[in-house]
Amino acid sequence: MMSRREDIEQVAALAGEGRLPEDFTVIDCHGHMGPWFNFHIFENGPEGMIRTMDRCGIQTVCVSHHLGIGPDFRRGNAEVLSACERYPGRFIPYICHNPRYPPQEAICDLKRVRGLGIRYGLKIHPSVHRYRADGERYRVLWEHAEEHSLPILSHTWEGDEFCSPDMFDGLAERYPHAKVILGHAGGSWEGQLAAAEIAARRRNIYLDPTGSRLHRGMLEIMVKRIGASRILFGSDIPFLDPRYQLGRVLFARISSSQKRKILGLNSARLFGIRIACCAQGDAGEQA
Amino acid sequence: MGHLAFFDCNCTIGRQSLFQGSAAPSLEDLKADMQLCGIRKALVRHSLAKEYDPARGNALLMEEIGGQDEFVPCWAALPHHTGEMPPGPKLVAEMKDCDVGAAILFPKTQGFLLDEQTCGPLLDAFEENGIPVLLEIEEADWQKVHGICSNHPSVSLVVLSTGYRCTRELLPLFERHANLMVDISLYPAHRLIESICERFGAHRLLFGTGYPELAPGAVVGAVAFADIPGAQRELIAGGNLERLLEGKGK
Repeated sequence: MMSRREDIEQVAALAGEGRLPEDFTVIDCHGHMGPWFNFHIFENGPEGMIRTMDRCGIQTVCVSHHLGIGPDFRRGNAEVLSACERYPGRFIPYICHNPRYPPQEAICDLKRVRGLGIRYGLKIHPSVHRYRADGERYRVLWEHAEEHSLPILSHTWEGDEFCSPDMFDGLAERYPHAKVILGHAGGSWEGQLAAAEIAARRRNIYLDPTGSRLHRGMLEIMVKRIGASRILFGSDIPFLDPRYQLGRVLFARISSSQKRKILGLNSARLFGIRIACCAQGDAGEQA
Repeated sequence: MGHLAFFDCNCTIGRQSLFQGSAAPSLEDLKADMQLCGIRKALVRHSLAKEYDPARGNALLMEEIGGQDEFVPCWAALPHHTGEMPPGPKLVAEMKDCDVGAAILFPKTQGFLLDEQTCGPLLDAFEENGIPVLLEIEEADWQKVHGICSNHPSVSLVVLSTGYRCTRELLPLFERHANLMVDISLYPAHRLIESICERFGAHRLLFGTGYPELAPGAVVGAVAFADIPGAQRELIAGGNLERLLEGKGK
């Protein structure tokens, strides 16, 4: 039986050669699509994203369009659904809502996606839309997530008056069947520590430590605090390149079993995605 | 793909005011992280050379890494006017005596102007002697980077920790200045490596980790999984930095 050190070094050795272990599948819980207004993103459409995904073994990305988290969520939701249709199995849509618009618009898009009979989640960006995550106008999405036991991903950042991690403690309690994903897991070092504490209290909270600053040692701290079963690989592709986050997980000082969960098994379970390479039992395995 | 010879251009040792982590990493911790990630060498600076006093910090660096082949020293430099550090030619001579690979400037943190009046003579000395100059973008701005590259077209300038939003500012400078490079420690832009390699060449990008703040495996992953030919990958991983430190520049 391999020692823990050998286990870590084996995965690291493969990663250093640009390879994944054969039984690793990667599902990215936090992706986007399209350009962003205040900086350039190379190859930001679905084709460019798939090129990257294929290079590093990402099977599926759960995506909200940049329009969806930005100025036109109706158009963004439509674009994402179109991409899902063109590239089946590669993208799962997040339906977005801007709470500054009437809830009936969100209901319309939710009815449309339910009519398609596909897997989906919900996405809110309280920071861009400058509206508190626990505000009344987001209730339409929270209740939908609760009713259908759906993942709901929110941008979170320590110190942000609209979406600091502590806000989600009460939301997770109020909506116990919603699968609450803390996007960026609070963002900063202190924010991610705080998010881990909240996740330790609430079994329906998931940590997604997506970000450009991938704090050394934080993944190990999160695993130690809550186990690996509620930590999700997320990259912000194409806002960011996923291969940084991938490297961070592959070289982390955690077991290969924990890496498999974080990289793909947890999201597969959350979104109901079948992973061909794994035994059925693995998807439900607890840390 | 075989094992890449990673050479980290952006690594700091020593305690910091705004430390974050479970425990301050020792030099042995750094070596262990390097070994795990396949990083063979690191161009290292001391935190006290930025946050306390450049001369003291540089001296501590030499004490702490002395004789260890995997570490190449990088010294913080100050303009000579206050007498805290010698004029450029003398500083360069000291750097050569100590096999220091590169210089780094911290104008914003250390309170000096990054203009020709203040830094010109220092940059002249680095330029004439083929010593690469490192500069964290938070210590300057892209306008100042343009100024340095314009006034010192033969100095190898490496901008560190750029952030992922800088592409619209950086690309015009890449077009104009052949002597400008960036490290990719904090530049996780989507398909950046592929795009820059195609348009400007792999020699513009340097592997850097941002240690100890950032997880070194992240950037190793970015290079290892990049969609580029092996020769370009080897340049980014370590070949570019090796060339710079041999004074070959661009």
